[in-house]
Amino acid sequence: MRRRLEKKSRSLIDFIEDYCREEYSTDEPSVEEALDSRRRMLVFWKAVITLPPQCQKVFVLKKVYGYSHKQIASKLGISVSTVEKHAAAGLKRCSDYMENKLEEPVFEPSSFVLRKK
Amino acid sequence: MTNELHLRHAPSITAEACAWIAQLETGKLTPEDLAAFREWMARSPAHRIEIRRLAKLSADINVLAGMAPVLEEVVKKHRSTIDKGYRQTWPKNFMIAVALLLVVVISGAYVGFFQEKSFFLAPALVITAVGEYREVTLSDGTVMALNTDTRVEVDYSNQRRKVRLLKGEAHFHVAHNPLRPFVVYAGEKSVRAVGTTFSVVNLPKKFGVMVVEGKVEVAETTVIHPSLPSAIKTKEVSLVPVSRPIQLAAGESVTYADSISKKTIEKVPQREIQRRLSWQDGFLDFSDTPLSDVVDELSRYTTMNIEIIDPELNKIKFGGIFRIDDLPGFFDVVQSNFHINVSYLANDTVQLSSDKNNSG
Repeated sequence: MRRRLEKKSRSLIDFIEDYCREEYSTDEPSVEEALDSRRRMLVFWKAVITLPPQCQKVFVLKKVYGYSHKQIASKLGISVSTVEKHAAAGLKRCSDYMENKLEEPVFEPSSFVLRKK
Repeated sequence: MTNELHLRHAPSITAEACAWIAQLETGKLTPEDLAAFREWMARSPAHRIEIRRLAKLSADINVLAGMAPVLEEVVKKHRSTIDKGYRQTWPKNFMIAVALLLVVVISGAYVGFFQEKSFFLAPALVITAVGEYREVTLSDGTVMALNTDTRVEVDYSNQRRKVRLLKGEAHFHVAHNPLRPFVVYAGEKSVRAVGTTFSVVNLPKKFGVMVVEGKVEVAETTVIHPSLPSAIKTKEVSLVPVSRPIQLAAGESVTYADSISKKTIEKVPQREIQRRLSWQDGFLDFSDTPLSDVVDELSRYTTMNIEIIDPELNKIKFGGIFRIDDLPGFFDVVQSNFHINVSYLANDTVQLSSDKNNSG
């Protein structure tokens, strides 16, 4: 599933690159490229817990389970364009956390039922 | 470039770029959509920079997708602690996903989010998918690099640091702390490190430890199950050393053949150490390696099935450095330089056969 997702996102990047090729054929590594997976995970998590419930569902089904927009739409009984709207909002939220534009969400361990040793 | 960087923070551009990416991810754009996209992209360099940045971010987040199955496993262990009240209105899978995210946070905790606190407790699983490489800094500062298709359980307490390499290959750069011994368990071995850099491989056909810096002890262990049923908790199962530990110094490695008792201790030259660690830089470094071994190695990094059709090919030896993420590139080289026919079959299989027409 991950391979499929990577392939999909790879092709999206290529698609976009095609549209900018003339001026940015070479470029420096972006800030995100330097991010380690831990930070990505935290950013994703922060974004997810602060999203409204429906948007949260869409984003998790998309990013953790790799469902397509169409599959999510039928699973949740909403339209594809609503899925797109939520997907865009999720991505935007990740981007905001990535750029440290938002306050850190409050993390309450008790709400996550951690078991103490 | 700097000017452009200033531009990219215009909030509406970010929101619009996100909307475009979502639409592109659905696929099936109409010619009108494409024309509109072209027009949007043409508005300014900032638009193009922003959409590329977000496309990459979106792709990076997809890396999380590989976590789902493993997290489900972790969640099973925690199931009893998850409030059942949540469940009713959500699709079942999704509930798991949410629970998983919490577990992600718990695992994240190991990686420093709550560095100073010790209230996260269940062992954390860290995994890599086939072809993936991941580097993780643990709460004590130990850095762990995981090669393809690897599964590691990190189980730290205040007294000791326990890591189980369930499968795959991992390289550890251990933060020195004699008060909290660092021990890696893998298969039926335990590897105790003393402020050290070392690698452990735990594969069906291959088990070994290589020390780059410092020294380690490798002991064979056996599992002792608690005798009373009430005491059976998998975590409490202890591994007890059954052999005198072998001492390995920097530049030494031990490899175990099929049977546990057959081991080879050898000195590893610096160059060979680098070669064996080249996966950390995304490369495979072969030197005089028979094709059969090359294929075994490559197969660890891909879900493709690589078959050698003609046995005589096994003897061909390869040298060279290849990018792990560029298998087609490798096959191109094989085809053009070694007169080996590479055929891609429909079921994710690649067959290597002698190129009879061209073997001269």
